[in-house]
Amino acid sequence: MGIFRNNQYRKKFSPAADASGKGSGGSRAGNVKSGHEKNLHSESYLQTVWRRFKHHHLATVSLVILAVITIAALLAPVIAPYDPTAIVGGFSQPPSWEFWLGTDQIGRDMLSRLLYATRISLLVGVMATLISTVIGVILGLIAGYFGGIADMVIMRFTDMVMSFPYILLVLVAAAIFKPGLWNIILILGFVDWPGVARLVRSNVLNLRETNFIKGNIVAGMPLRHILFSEILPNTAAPILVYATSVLALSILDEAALSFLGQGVQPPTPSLGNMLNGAQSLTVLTSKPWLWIPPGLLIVVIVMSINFIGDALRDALDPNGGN
Amino acid sequence: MTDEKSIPLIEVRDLKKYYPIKGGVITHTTGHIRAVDGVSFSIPKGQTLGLVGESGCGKSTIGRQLVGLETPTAGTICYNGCDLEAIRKDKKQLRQIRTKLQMVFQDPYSSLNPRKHIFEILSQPMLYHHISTKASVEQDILKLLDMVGLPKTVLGRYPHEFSGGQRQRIAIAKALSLNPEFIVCDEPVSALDVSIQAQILNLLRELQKELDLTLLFVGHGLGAVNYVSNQIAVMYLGKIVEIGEAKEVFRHPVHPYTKALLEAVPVPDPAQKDKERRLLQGEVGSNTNPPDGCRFHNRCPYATDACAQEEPTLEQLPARSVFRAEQIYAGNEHTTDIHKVACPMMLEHMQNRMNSTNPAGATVPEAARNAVDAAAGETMQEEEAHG
Amino acid sequence: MGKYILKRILIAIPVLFGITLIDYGIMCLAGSPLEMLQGPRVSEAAVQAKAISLGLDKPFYIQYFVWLGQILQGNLGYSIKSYQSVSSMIASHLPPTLLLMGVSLIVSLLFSVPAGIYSAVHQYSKGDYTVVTVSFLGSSIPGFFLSLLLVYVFTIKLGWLPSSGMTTLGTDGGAVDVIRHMIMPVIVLSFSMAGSTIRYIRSAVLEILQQDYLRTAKAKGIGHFRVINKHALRNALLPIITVIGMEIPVLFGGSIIIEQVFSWPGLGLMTMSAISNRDYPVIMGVCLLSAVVVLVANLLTDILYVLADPTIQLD
Repeated sequence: MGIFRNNQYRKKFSPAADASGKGSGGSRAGNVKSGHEKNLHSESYLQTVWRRFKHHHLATVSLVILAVITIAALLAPVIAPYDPTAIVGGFSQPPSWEFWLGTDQIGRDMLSRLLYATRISLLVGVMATLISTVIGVILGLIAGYFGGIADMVIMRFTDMVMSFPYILLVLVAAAIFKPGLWNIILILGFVDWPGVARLVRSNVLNLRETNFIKGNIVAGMPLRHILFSEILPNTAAPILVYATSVLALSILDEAALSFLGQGVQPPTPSLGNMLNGAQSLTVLTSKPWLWIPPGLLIVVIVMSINFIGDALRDALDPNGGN
Repeated sequence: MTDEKSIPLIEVRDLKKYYPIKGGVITHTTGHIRAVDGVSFSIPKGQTLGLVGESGCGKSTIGRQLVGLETPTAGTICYNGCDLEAIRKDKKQLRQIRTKLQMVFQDPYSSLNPRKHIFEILSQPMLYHHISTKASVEQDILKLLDMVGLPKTVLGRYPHEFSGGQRQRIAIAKALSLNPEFIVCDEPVSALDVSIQAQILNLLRELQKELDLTLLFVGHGLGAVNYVSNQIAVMYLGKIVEIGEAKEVFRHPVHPYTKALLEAVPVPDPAQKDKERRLLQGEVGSNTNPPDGCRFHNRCPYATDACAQEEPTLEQLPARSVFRAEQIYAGNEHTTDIHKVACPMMLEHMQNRMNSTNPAGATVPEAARNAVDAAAGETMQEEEAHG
Repeated sequence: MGKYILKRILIAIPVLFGITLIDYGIMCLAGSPLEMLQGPRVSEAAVQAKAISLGLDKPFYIQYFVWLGQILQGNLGYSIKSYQSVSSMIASHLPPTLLLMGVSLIVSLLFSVPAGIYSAVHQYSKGDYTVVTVSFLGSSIPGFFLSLLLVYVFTIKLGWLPSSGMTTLGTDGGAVDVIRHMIMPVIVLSFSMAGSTIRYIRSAVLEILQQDYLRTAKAKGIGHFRVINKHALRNALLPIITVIGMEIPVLFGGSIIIEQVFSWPGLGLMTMSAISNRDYPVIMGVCLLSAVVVLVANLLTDILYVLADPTIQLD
């Protein structure tokens, strides 16, 4: 990805590294008057983005929170006090020193289950986002760059997929393909791509008309270079921003599906299926520790991702000021 | 007259580019925009052809067709005598030739990939075409930078860190990096500050001499075009209306449109401020339905009924043009090449003036007049040989 | 103008055709309806006879066209579970869903349009931050979790509102009763919709406020309120049209989950029970219907857009 490119030449040729500076620039170097033409001041792209990102305090806080949650989820096997599937205590015990978040209806530790559930929910979100982004980027690149019949067929297909109410399509697919972790990931991934495809296509359409793409065509550069080395890095920023919203949506959708019993199946815990029990009135009424923590965790995760996405949109905006 | 310089590197014959106009409920082609409508010219190696005209007259389209960004609707483009359309199938040969034809774009702000630093921008095409190797590419690029007058500290920077003029230097370096023989400069200075324009024009001229480059210089500023060009072609609505040696076209324009263009240039002379300038009236005609006859007739101050009937062709001027007489007198004989104009009325007018006692001719010394006659004979012979 | 509308409709036709194809394809993937028949008491010959009577012995594309012909006549097939015709099931469940969706859409617009405009006009003020944060909360909170919270507070703790159904059982359910049942589902649906709507309206109005003609109006000395009222609002109409077009598919999806949680007797509840019963004719009927509704909504949005914006390019 373009924005993560290494900076070896920046370092190598930075003014500091070249002490002799302009003197070695050659006979005509004198033509360039740094007083007249803007010259110095350099800051890498990533530095600029980070500086602008930090202006959004909520997003910075969100980043920290999301990092903590992610690390905790990744380290679940190490830090979870109990085995998430083992019955370790009494049925439906309220929070105590022994079980910080209580136990569920069959006596499993809620905190351990919550840690593992977060792991699963994040996995579903990230994988589904990756799949849909890859599909969307490829289709968008083809439609935008080649145009013509390829463009028409892809865009009409996109219209069709977008016409089905999203959650309905996912529910139907889940019903047909049997609910389960990897099926859910695949289903979400294969349903989420139209937005990415449209975004990439419109970006490619704009970029295709720019002089630097034309210059590369004139220079006889091959198609794969133009698509992946020239066009894609320039559309990476909007894709990244869009992907954050897809990530947020995927996590929400997994939760909804699992809540309805059509998603990740027990005993594997996910944030959605932990809330499934709250459909019974006794759980809802008298055992709030069983459904409030996973629900709140979903809200916190999704909200953090949304804040980060919003700040990224500003920070990556090429026209944005300081 | 048959020295190396007169073999055309680029020869364009009857080039056309029509863009379809789509419309209707069920999309279909409802008409054509005739951006370029039958254009022929040739550029000898090491020379510059300046292409001028109002925006929308098709001059940029010609440039884009020459470098392969657009395929001609009709006509041929020959590079070194090799028809580019004919070798379209031979991908390898085509790619090799394409690197010899490069382009510098108008807007330097969009002609460099904003996500790449200058080293990447310059090195990638060189490495891909094996013009340089990983080991030598750094040296080669430093040489290029020296040529366009930039210090080597630019390599690690990104395009947004440079001014327009510096970016245009980088764009020129990029075009040069593939060792081209021919470069299309598509209004390379019109997006720049006036103070920078001259620097870039000078650079182009120096580079041309140094590397024996052939240029097609597209522009609408007559001054800039005249400064860098050997030949000038004036375009109106997809056709060339006047083509000839730059100084001659500039000093002694024949076509009414060329005259109007030149008169539109403000003269920085307070003595002339009250002089009436005949500025063009009316709008440029449509290039979907160009006017019948001469395309300029609805704006031409000299137009007659005949102009609306017959479409004029480019015709060679009579040999005894004043300027050429002066040139020959001064000994610059090789400049007496072509000067063609697509305006039968003006040609007739000149012919008449020359046949009667030519008042301007009286100032030409006897020796010069003889030289002109000799040159005219020579030109005719040469044309017979070509035909 | 007429030409453009005709063209948009012509483009929609192949999409509609494709939608039926996808719909039919999914139904085929789901398995043959014969599988449902098979059992120890059904003989092989009976299954064969049934296959022929259903036209299942014919090739795929002929079956598709037969099915399409039936659809065009308004026949969406029969439920495997209840043997009712799918179209009559949809017809009886549609009104409650439309009521819920319509009210939610109106409520969400009533709150989010003023909030979005306020936020844009007072950009970077405390009020703006609050509105934007709340809007992020709206699009981050899962509808079912918000429903559970509301039920917990208003039904269980406070006992103010009923938590399920459309009317109280045993009564004939007057308007007040229906409204009391509607409050919580409408809150959930409109809150999650308002999340994205507020931010969309906000950025659209911000863009309008930066236009030169508004600066001109301000420079002329026209009061702040009048500038916004007379010049900005009319131009904010376009984003509102877009938002409505965007929200309709979201509403369809959202109502499935919300109806399930609140036992609202609409299309969503019917769909969920069809999904858990693997009642494919019903599922596909609902899918087709909602896809067509979304398509028509998009078409109407596009047409309204052209009508509202004289500067839009028609090609």
